[in-house]
Amino acid sequence: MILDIDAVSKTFEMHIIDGKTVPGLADVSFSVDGGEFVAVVGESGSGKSSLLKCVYRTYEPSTGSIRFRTTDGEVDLATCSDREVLAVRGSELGYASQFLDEIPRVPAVDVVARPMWEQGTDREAARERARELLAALDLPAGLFDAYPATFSGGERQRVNFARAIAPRPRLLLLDEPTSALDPETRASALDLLGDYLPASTTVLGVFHNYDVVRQVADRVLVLDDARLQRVVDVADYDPEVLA
Amino acid sequence: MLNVSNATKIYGQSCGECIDHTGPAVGDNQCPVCGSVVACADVDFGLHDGEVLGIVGESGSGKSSLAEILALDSDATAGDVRYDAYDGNLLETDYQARHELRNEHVGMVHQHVRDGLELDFSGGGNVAEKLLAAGWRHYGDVRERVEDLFRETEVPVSRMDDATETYSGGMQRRVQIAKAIANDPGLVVLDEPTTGLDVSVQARVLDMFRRLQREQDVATVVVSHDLGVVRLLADRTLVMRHGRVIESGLTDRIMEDPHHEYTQTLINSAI
Repeated sequence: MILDIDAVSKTFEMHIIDGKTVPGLADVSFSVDGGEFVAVVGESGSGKSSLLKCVYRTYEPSTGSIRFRTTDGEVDLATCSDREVLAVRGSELGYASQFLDEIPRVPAVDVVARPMWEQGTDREAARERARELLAALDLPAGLFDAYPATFSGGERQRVNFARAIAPRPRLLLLDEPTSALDPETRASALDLLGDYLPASTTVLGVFHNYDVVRQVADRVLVLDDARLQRVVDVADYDPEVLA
Repeated sequence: MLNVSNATKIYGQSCGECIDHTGPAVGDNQCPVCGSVVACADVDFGLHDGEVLGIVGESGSGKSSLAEILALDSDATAGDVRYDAYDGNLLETDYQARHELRNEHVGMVHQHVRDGLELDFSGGGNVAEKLLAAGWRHYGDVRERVEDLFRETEVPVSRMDDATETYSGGMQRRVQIAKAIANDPGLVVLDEPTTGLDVSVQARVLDMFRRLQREQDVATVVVSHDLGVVRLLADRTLVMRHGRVIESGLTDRIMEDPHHEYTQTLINSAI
C-alpha cells in the first residue's frame, strides 16, 4: 500500500456569506496499492477535485489522515508540516491541475523542463526531455519555444500534462488531464502515461470519459455528493449503476 | 537559517500596552491610549536555505515594516531574529556588524528605485559599490564580477557605464537585483518587486529572479500586495493585517482554501 486515506472530511467555512459551511468531502476512506491506477469519477461538484487537492494539500483536510508511504518513510499529508509537503512535492508527488498556471512569457519547453531542473536535472537534458514529451503529445514543434498564454485550451493542457509527468513522480494526481483533447491526441497522452512512466507509478486521476476509464484504470472510485459511494474493479464498473 | 520571533515595530512613544490595544481583533493598528502606530507585532516565522516566503496584505498592514526590519534597514522595537551568518540577535547588532551583514549577507531590493540606487551613477558603479564595501579591491576583478552579474540579471553589459537614470524601469529593477545578490547573500528581501513595471517586464523580472533564486539556493522574502506575484514565487505565505500575521501556510493552500475571513476577502478581491 502506498496511500491510505482514512475518514477524510473537508468543510469550507465561507465567512463572506455569514460563516455558511460547504461540504467538500465527507468521511472518505480508501487505500491504494503501489503501481495501481485509480480513476475517480462522479458528477460535477461531487468532490473529485477536492479529493485530489486534499492529497496534494492545496486544501487542508478538516479531519482524517492521508498517509503516503514515501521512500523515506510515511507522512500524513493531512497533518504534516508545510515543509514536509513541499519536500514530498519536490520529489515524489506530482499534480496536473485542470488549468496551467505559470509565470507569463516562459516558453512551453521551459515550463515543462522547470520542475526537472529544480529537482536537479541538468538544464539542457531537462529541455531535451521536455521536447520529447511535447512531441509525443503531438504539440507542433513550432510551439515549443512560444509562450503558452496564447495557446489553445488543448495545447495548454498538453503542456500542463507534460510538466506533471516529466519528473516521473511516484504518486501522480491527474485532474481531467485529457478533457480538452481530441480523440487522437487523447490516445497519444494515454499511451505516453504507459510508455514514459515506470509500471510502479501510482496514479489517482479524475476522468469524465468512460472509455478512458476503461482503458487506463485498475479500479474506479465513485464519488457522489461529497461522499465515497463505492470503489470497484474496472471490470465491474458500470456507469449506469448509481446505488 | 533565519528564525524570527516576536518581531515588533512601533512608531511613537509607546504607552507599553499598545500591542494589547491594537490588531485584527480591534480593527486598527493605532493605539487608542497613546496614539502610537503598531506597524507590526508578534511576527514569528522560520526560513530555510532556498525557501521563498511571501508576505501579502493591503497598504498599512505592516508588511514593508517587517521587510525593512529583516533587511536591517530599520530598527525593531522588540523581537529576536537569528540568522546563520551572525552569532546573536540580529535586531541588537552594533553599527559595524550591521554594516557587514548588509553588505555581505542580506540583499534588499527596494520598492522605490531611488532608495536602492544612485541614479546619476552608472549601473555598473552601483553594483561595484556593493563589492567594494565587501572588500573587493582589484579593478579588473570588480569589473569582471559586475559584467557577470549583468549577464545573470539580463542587463545589457554594453550599458554598464551609462548613468542608471538612462535605463528603463525594468533594467533599473534588474540592476537592483544584481546589486542585492552581488556578494552571494544567504537572504534576499524583495519589497514589491514588480511595482511600477510594465506587465511584459514584470514577467521577465519574475522569471529571472526565480531562476537565480533556485540556482543559488538563496532564501527569499517577497513582500507584495500583488497576489499574483506571491503565487508565482513563494512556497509559503504569511497574510498580514493591522500589523499582525493572521494566517500562514502553503501559498496554493492560502489562495485556494483561505481560512481567515480577511484572507477570503483578499483572495476574492484579486482581479
